[in-house]
Amino acid sequence: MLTLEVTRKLEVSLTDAQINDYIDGRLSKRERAVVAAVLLQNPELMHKVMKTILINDIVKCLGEDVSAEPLPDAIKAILRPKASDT
Amino acid sequence: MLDPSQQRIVAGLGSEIPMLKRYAHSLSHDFAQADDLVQECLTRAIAKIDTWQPGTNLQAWLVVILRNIFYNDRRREKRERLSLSALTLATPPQVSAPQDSRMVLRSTEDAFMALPTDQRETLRLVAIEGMTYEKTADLLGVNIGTVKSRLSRARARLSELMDGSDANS
Repeated sequence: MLTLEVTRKLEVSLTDAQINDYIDGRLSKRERAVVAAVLLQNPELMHKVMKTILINDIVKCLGEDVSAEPLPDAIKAILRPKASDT
Repeated sequence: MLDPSQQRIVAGLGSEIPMLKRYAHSLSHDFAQADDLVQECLTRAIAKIDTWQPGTNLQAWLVVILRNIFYNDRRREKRERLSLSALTLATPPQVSAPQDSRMVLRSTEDAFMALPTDQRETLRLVAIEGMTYEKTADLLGVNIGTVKSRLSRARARLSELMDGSDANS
């Protein structure tokens, strides 16, 4: 069960690990709901988490241009069946 | 001489190439070197295809091979010197204030590539390749706590870099 940190000012906060678990989909529905409730109560933290989520969404697309590049002939040749293999 | 099941595995390697290229590029920062790494990885994978156990994860096996090539290669020091000099030139990373969405995308990529290698490859495996923390830890030979701390540091650093602040201070 998700345990939340209570600060001196009695504000409920989240650890970096909990934020990562939230972003990476490692929480149960119930745990996600708790995190969402904490975020709604803490605009500063919500801004931080939203920013991290948005950056993460961009990061997810990085490398698509790399993988879309045509394969060099040398790599194609490696995967081409050799006569001795058939 | 490959038996029919090994031939099928070799044929299946092609579908893993996009993932390998992304991973190789994140390690090397360089398109040509990424192609070299992928080529070497596939060559070694085929050479020792009989050591791959059917039923285990082919993608994970390839990532481990590619990673070992990168880190064990005799040219490792040279690569790191090049990477370090590239980073030095870019330190503090010049993530300019975004003026439009394309610049935001570009700035994010610059910030991602400026991350330390261990943080970058961890974030790549989790965020881009969609691997679990457990699988990522297994592939990188670290414990889950290390994966979590690398993710936290990587994301905090990206956030700082996107602000254009100097996270080195």
